[in-house]
Amino acid sequence: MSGEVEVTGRYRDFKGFVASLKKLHEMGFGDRLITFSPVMRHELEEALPAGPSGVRYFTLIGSLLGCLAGVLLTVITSLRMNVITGGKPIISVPPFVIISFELTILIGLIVTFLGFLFWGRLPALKAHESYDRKFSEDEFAVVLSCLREDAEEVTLVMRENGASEVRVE
Amino acid sequence: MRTLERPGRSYFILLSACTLLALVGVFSWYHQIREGIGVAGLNNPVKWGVYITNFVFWVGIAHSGTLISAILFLFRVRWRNTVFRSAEMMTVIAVMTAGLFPLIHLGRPWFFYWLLPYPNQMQLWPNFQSPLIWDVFAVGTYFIVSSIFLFLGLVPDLAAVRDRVAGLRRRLYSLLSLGWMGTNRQWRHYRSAYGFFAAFATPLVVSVHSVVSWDFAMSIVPGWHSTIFAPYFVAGAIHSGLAMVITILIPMRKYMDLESYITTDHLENLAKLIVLTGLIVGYSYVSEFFVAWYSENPFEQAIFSYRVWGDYALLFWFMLIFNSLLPLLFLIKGMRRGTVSLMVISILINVGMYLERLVIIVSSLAHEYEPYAWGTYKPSIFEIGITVGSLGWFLMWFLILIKLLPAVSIAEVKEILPIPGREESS
Repeated sequence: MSGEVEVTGRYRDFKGFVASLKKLHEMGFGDRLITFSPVMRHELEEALPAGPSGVRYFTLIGSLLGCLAGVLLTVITSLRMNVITGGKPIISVPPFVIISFELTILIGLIVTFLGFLFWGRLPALKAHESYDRKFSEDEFAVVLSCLREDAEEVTLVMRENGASEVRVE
Repeated sequence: MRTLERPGRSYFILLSACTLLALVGVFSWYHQIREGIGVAGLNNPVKWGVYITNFVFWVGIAHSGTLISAILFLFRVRWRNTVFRSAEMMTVIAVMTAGLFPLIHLGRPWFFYWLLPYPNQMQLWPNFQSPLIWDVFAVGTYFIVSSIFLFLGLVPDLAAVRDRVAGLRRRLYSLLSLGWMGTNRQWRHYRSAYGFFAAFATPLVVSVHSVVSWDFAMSIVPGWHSTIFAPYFVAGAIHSGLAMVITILIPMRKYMDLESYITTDHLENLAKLIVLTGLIVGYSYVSEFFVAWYSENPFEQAIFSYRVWGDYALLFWFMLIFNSLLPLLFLIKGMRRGTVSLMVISILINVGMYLERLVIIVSSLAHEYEPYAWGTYKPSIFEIGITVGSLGWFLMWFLILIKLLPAVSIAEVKEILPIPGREESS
């Protein structure tokens, strides 16, 4: 990978940052861009369109598991106890639905949170080399790994769109 | 970030006062454990008193956090951005406080684990047909979900704090922020997860107070056995929760100099919501009486007559005035925008909502079917100590949390600020 370089552009100007992202995306670098932003705005999502997040699969699987856990817990334990209470059937659907509903939400959301950690690659033990504390305050940045021969054009796009600093490493 | 600065003397005085109140509660509970549940004023027929009232009250207070955070998020209501964090903190602490009361009411709290389903040699399992077990699952789920929801929303803000502090605090916030850097990848999945949390928390919040209401409605006690209890309790919970948010936000924004973030417009919007919930609560009161009258059920009619004219009539009338009539003052613009009127009315609504739970629980048990089994209830000094202690406990944790965690969402407030562009820069 000796022919690759990393180009980092820093911005104070949000509109210029978004314009850079759009241009770089049009140039075919969309999948390789890493951006840093203190805020998520819809302009960023529009500039770098991406498919739906994989977190939804975690939510679906977690919810189904939770529901199943609720059904199995109530049905199996009631059958084992086998004691009629209040003249109701051993397997009483309405109360068991309540337990299953709560467990659907509980396990569904716990697994959703795990999905967020998984897809967001968190916890991150080490910060990205280009990360700067200003990126959690009021600055934005885009980092692109590209071939050395593309670096000049990428740098030009960043500068034209108002990057306050462009670094090639 | 301003909320995390080193607090002044008045903060420590307030924190000490709240801790002292909490200690009064701890001492009272200790005394009850040592001497037995007999030190409480509970009796036959009134076996549920202020402990269960406190439980329902605090669960209710917890509801506004999810309302403001999740429901208003789903409706893309922008004014929520500055107030939802404090409401979420309030939710977590209120559920934590509420969860203590069934344990206090148990008398032998060390056997609390009997409520949980766990394999044991006697092969005993909880009775899943009992509303009290539904409570364990509903309140437990609500506590865990609202805690994770609060933490999820905090992650970007904790990273912002991490980048601005040094030393031990930096290490602590580094750990808590999970190494968040605000990359496009992280934001994308964060937004997705946040949306799912909001979407799932909304039916959860409705289910939790519905389950709490079924603790009563599933019984055949007159005044409790009603089909309107679930929506009635949910509306009441949101009503009291919103009032508590206003009660807490007004001193917080003044003390922490947050008036430019939590503006009068925000408080006014909360007051408008209170008018809505107050009308729903008032309608529920009228419905209860109408159903009792129209059913021609003598026991139902007797209990509602007892509420109006009986031993707890004074509490009933205060409840009616504070919860249904006073909020209508917010129809006047000046009342919605005046800090003093907001504060006074919101405190009175909280008092009214506490009385509502007390009236529902105590009056129905005191005046059931058989006249020879009627009785009355008066809380003992230890029950009052625990109740006052729970308020101190709630405020103590709130004061601690607002100094440890950003009380106003940094990332979401930035979302509604004008974007820095070349026009502004030039």
